[in-house]
Amino acid sequence: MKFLLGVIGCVCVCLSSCMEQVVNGQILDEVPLLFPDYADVTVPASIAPLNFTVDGEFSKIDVVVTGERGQEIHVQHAREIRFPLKAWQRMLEENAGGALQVSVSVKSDGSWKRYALFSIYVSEYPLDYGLVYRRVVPGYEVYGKMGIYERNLSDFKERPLVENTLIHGCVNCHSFPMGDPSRMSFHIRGEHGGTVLTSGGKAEIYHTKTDQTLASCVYPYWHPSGNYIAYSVNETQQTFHSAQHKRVEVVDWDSDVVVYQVETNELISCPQLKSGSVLETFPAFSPDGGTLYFCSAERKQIPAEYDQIRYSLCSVGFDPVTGSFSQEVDTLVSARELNKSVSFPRPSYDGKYLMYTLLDYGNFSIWHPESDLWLMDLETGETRPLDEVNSNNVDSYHSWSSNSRWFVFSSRRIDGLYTRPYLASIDEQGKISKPFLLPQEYTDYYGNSFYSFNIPEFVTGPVQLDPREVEYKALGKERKPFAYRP
Amino acid sequence: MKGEVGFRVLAGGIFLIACIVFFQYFYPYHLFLKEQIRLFLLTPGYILSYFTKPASLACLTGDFLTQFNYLRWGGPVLLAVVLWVEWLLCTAVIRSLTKEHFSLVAFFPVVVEWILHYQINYALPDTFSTVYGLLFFLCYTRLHASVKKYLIGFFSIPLLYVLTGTGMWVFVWLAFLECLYRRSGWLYSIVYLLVAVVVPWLFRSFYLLTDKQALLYPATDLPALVPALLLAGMLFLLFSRSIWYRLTTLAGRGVVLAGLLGLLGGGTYARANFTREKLLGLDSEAYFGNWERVYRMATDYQLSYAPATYYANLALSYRGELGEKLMDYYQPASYGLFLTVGPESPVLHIFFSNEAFFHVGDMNMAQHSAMLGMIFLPSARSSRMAKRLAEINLINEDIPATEKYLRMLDKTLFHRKWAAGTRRMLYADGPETHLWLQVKRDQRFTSDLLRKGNDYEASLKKLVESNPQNKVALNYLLSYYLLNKQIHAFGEVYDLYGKEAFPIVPRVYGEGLLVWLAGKKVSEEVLGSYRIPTNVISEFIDYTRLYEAHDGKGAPLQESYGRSYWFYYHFAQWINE
Repeated sequence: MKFLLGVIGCVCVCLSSCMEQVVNGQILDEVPLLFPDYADVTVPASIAPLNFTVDGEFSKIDVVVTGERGQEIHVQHAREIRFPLKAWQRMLEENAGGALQVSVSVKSDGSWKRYALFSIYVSEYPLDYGLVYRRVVPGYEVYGKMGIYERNLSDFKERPLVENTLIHGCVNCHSFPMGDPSRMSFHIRGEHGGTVLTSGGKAEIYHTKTDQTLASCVYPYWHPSGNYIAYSVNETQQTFHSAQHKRVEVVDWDSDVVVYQVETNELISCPQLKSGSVLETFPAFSPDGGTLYFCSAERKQIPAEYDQIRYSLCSVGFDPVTGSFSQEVDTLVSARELNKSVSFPRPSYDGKYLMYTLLDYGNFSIWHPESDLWLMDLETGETRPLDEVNSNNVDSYHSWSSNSRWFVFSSRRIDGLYTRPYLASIDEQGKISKPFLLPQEYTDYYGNSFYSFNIPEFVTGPVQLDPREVEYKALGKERKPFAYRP
Repeated sequence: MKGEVGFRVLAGGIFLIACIVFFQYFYPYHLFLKEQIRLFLLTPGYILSYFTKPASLACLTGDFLTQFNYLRWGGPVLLAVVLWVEWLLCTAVIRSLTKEHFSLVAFFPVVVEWILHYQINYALPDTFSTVYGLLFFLCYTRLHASVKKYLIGFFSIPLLYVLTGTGMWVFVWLAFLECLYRRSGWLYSIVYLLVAVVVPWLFRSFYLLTDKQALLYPATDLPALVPALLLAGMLFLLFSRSIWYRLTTLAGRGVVLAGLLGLLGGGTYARANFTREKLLGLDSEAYFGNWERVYRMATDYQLSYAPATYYANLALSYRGELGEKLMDYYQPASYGLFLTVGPESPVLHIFFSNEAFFHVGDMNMAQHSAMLGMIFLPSARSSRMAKRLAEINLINEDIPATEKYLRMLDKTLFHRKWAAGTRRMLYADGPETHLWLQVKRDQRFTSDLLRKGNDYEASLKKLVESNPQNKVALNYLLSYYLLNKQIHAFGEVYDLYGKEAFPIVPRVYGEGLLVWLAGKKVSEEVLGSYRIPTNVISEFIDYTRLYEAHDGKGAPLQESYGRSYWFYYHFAQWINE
């Protein structure tokens, strides 16, 4: 073993000695144009190496990262910078709460150019273990190859949780109670359809459509107690725009919100959540479990008035002891007043904020380039656009980390077609950092991929799910039906 | 010995030539398609992605080489060489076990492999699995029989599975036969077999595969194992001295040769799909932009099959003859204008479906279809669809999206030049802008419309409204109405746009107009305003006379008017197949 380590050490020394010295470099005032853009971002100390490349033609790229506490990583490569994992992890851990200075030089036409330094700030706030997302081609209507994957945020390891080749269908809408990896809800669509609920690694498949509900349950959100899951039931139609700057429109013809009580296996609802003249969707429980947020819109003629459907952000009281709802519905953000539409309300788990997506109309924000993230302060009721993270393309589906100091959201800012997960931090004062793209080992990973990353959700540990059990049960005929409590 | 070498050279040479000739002249388009339904990127990340599934080395080699199918002659030559190598390995395996040359017999598994390549979903990775399995076995036989050898074999089984997939089975079966032949190491060979059964089962959780996928990877169906099984079976027979003695005689060789030819002929008859080859011919030539060739092929083939009609109609449209010759081809209502896409549609239909949308100028639907065309492929990647998606976004002036696909194509062996040319168009201004690009951009919608994916009528109407000069969309709209027998809608659209767009009334439109105008009982003056050629009017009068004279029966009209719109209008019926 010692011999092996010695050989590896020698190889490393040889390789490092092969590094070209950056000499007589032209000093530039500007910061390099990076891909992904990691200049001046704030990252957790546990994040995987922020490998990057520089825009433009060059034959060599040289990067020196210096920590406030004296450590240094020096990397040189022909195409892109890939930091050694262990050295990177050590440097971040030792500089938590501080900053790294990054010096980038590139060699082109035989001479070196050194860019201005930039920083990477290392946050003191820890980040959850991983991210779970669905990787799917934005093929909209029918499904090809896709799956739900878990990514360890400390390195580049990705683990498939379930792929549709196993169950011959489509998998979607995965959800965890406050990032708890031992409990999960997701749906299987197609021939072997059903809703999978897991607890402690054991999976059960349910048939969620009842005679009293419009359709199967979608868009789950767990109650903090884990005893309830709020769903919406939607009759949805997919249509296509002809205008080149828009592509797809997903419209709900009808929708209601229901709550599933895990213990009794019953769906419960109330007239406030299933009005005939109103479309209700995207439910989310408050972290204390006493409020249910949801989006609500006046029903319109479809397709004639599809662009007049605007959802307000509403809330209704919920008593988790009795499973009952209050009579009053509060409107927190009025679509009529804003002339905009709200989707995906997500309260932070510390109860301070509620993040949502705002778009011109409708609810399927991922196909609306104007979609932006907004933040409501639940104590003051103030609401504002998250200019710190929004882009000129889609910024949508978001999820909070278990400590409410990080959030992840989906953005199409790179090419307008494929959604990618971006992470950003929010401190106690509500200051939000510049977002950064989920790092990958190879910088062309996203560019070479035909997949979108849907529904990024934090998990606090490896998800307890046995794909074999899911396969076995999904391919079987048994589905436990949801009951409905009038 | 010399004679044997000469025979092998001759046999191998004939095989190579026969294989190249067959696949170049009789079956080239399947090989073109196999390149189009893959996208191999020369990047470390992409290459490493092969290790997330079994048979990584076989898939990597096979997919890398499949890129050469893009070149004319590339696919046939490559396939012939790979099959020839497989034959050499089979010969060497037979020799290593029997100590005899059975070059001719060694062709049997290779001929089966040849036949398997008639299928779209059977490709070079499958063949390389077998090739690597044979190669490993040959290395294995070089080892002296000892515990060390058997341990190497034992530990190689999972490695073989990881690198070659079904190549593992090839090795295990041959190792079993080796034990049988040498009459030693029985226990080890049985352990090998047991390990080989367990390995896919153990690895399937890691790779997230079903039982069947795990057993057969990279193949999808059991026939992929036939070449190796056949080789094993033959070896088993060749252990019999009397059989091999008979095979070394001239008569024996004659029997083997006849068997081989029978197998190849029978296999070709049973498994080769020449109708699909014709269809793929239409499709590939369309992809290469050879629309004249598509037209000639469609005219020669006269296939009664919606996707074939689809390409015939596209070729007619490119020639500006849709209104003239629409009825010269089999027309299954409007299903030959746009291919229906849904979860139950054949993969090829989905793959082809973007062409018509792209042609008429409906870029959003073309993009939707191209994405579906890609995700329904086994690999969910396609060089051809990446090019189409780049074109669509180029037309839409969406630079980031175009660059996304161009950067991918930059990393390929044979599409990088295309990407460079497209990039020049993307950034060109004014006079440098390509004429083709300007025409395509002019075709686009000028206002928004929300429609369902299969609402072709709404799309075409909006395209024509947006730009009445878009004659392609107008032709498709008029043809759509005619083929669906919506004669009133046809007449109205013709009135609105067609009168101006067509100074000379195309034959089929003239026929349609007469049906419409006759229904409206218009005056001669009004009829004259449509400038329908007099011979068409005379024929209509004759057709009507005959139709009435024969009490509306179609048979007497078939010979003279079978290719007229009137006949289609009266007698064409949609039969759901």
